[in-house]
Amino acid sequence: MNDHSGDDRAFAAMFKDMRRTLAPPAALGESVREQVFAEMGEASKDAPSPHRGRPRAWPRLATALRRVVRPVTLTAAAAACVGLAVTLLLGSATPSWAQVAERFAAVKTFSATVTTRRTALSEVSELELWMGSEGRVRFKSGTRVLFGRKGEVVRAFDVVERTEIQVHQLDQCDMAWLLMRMLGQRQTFDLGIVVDSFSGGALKDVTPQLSGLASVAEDLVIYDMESRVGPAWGRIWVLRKSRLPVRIVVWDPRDGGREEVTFTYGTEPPAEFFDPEAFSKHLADRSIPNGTLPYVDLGDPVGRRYVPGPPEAARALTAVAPTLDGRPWSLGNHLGKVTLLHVWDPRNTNPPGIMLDREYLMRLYEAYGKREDFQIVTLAIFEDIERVRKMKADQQVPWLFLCDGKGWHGELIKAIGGPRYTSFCLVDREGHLREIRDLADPRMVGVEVVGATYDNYSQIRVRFDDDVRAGRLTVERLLSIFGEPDERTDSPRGPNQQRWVYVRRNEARDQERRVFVDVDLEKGIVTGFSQSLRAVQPEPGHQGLPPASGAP
Amino acid sequence: MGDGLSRQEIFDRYFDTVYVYVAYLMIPDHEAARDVAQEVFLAALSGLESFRGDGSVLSWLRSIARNKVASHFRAVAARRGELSLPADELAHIAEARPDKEVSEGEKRALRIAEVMRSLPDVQAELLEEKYLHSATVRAMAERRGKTEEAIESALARARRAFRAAWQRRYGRALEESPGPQGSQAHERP
Repeated sequence: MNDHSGDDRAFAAMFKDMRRTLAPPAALGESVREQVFAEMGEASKDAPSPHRGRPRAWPRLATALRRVVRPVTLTAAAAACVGLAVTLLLGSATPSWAQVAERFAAVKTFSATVTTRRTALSEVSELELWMGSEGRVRFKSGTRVLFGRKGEVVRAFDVVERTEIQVHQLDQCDMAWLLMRMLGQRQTFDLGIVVDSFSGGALKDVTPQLSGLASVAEDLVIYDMESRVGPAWGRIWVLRKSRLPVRIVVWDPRDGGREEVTFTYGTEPPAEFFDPEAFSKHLADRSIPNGTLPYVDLGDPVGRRYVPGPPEAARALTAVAPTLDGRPWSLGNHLGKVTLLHVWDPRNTNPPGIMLDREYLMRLYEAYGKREDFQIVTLAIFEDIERVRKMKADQQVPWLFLCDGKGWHGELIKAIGGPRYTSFCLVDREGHLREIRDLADPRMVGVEVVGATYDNYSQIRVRFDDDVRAGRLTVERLLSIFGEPDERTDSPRGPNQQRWVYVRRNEARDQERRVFVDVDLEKGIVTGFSQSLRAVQPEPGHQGLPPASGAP
Repeated sequence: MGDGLSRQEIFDRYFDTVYVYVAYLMIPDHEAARDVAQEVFLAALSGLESFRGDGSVLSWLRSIARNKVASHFRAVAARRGELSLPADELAHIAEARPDKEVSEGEKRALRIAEVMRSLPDVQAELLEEKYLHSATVRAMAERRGKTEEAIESALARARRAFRAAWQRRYGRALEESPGPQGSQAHERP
């Protein structure tokens, strides 16, 4: 007991010293508290501030309606006179505001980018929205994507957390939520509501008047608006011939704050772009990077893509890229092998032409390159095949090179997901594109080539989590990587359910991993996956422990 | 909900402890520790309804902190084009950080943290709970449904494992290493 208490005191002192070293600086707690409660929309102290909790990016929207009402500075009669005078000056081709509003109402679809600057010195934040027919709306606001129908948010997702957000948990002061309510309720688009929405209520029921600026650009007509409830004012740029608004800017001269909306008109995005169910499937696809998820179904009307599309496995197998000596090569002809497809753009290296991942690839080649069931293939993204030949010779790398001379427009690179900052694509024996990341984890390669080892178990777990949740990880695939389990027991979950246990040891660390896998033998899928890491206790005295502090 | 504590009370009661824990996992990156600690409380207090109440609030906050720290390092690794770090293998944290000046106290804390990471999870958790979070043996026993004697024994084993790991890693006994309870002898490089 004395041993214990002496040892205990020594450890307590040691950790106390560490706690002191790591203690938060003075006032940090207060600062963090402010941030946390503001983000949650709660006051951090007893006296709540009315502004606390509003999204920082959209302060005016939430506060504009509270502003002091000021009398209109321009009387209606004066406004009418000015409008008439400007109309006469600009000629009969100048559309009236009523004509602009009418034209806008006839639009079937539009998209808009809304940027907000809280004050003259603030960072700009951005929101994007797409309005489709039948009241379908989609928003991207920060890391969130919201889907709406007829003025109601129907589903919402976070693309970084890759989770669905319960609609009732959304902040109802969020700009996207408010716009959804205001814009999505009508079958036709009301420009008055648009202006009202984007100005945060500051320009409600204000009729824009033609501005003298219209004479500067003959193909644009410009309207100005003044707020009835504050000093804010707005300007709208309208195309003279089509009568469509293309830009709205709302200024607040008190602090230099600004909201700007840019409109784009075109064909309606595909139906799946407005389909939250289709989006939720993309969310589960880890081969699509977070940053490209919000636009994955969005294509330009003439076929250009804003982000890479999801990889098309079937197309990837049949897509052909020639080797450097001109022989056609495709993944489909190498089923049964694990392929590490290395995408190399010599222009995107510094200095150009250097294969930055050469050492990493050489290590993999030395580890697995002699196996019949593994190959490394570099797909060179370059137009000059002769120069690629020379660069390969300079790099002195032994594996196969492909180059079709089409750069990022080549068939194979498009098929594995289009132009993206991809360096590696791991293709398993069945031809599935297993992993696309900036850098392929060597343990991933190890999993595919030699199966599961102690060291790559945790990586397997991380990687399989989504597949297991989605019911995609088959027993067959599990067996192909893990082999037969060390233990099989019946599971209380029901008939045809078993729990398999895999044990892998690391003698050097005196540790073992036990991976528990729940399988449904009837459906042939894995239903659960967890692991434990535990010490393999050595014999007493084996570790040669030093004496405890204060021990007799 | 939350042991009957309000969000404010949870923040007030646990912020320092959670911050120390996050800083310990991330040492010496205090700046990032601040951000991660903030994320921990934002996630915890926003999702307080999801707290099932079958453990202590502190355990719950610690588990959120571990996940947030792991996410942070995965993001750091991704930004640097490095490998993603699995959540339970944070041994490479030191390498994932930018180089910066660290104090003697931080160096000492870093060594402790590294040795702790090399321990089996169960032992590391026991030591963290007892010494980092100053939990009582009784509370630890109740939480695990074990006797206090069993916890005392497990703690003794964990301390022995810690000493052994320290000896293996730094080539000398814990007491012989620089620090408040050791001599100022030089360490093996």
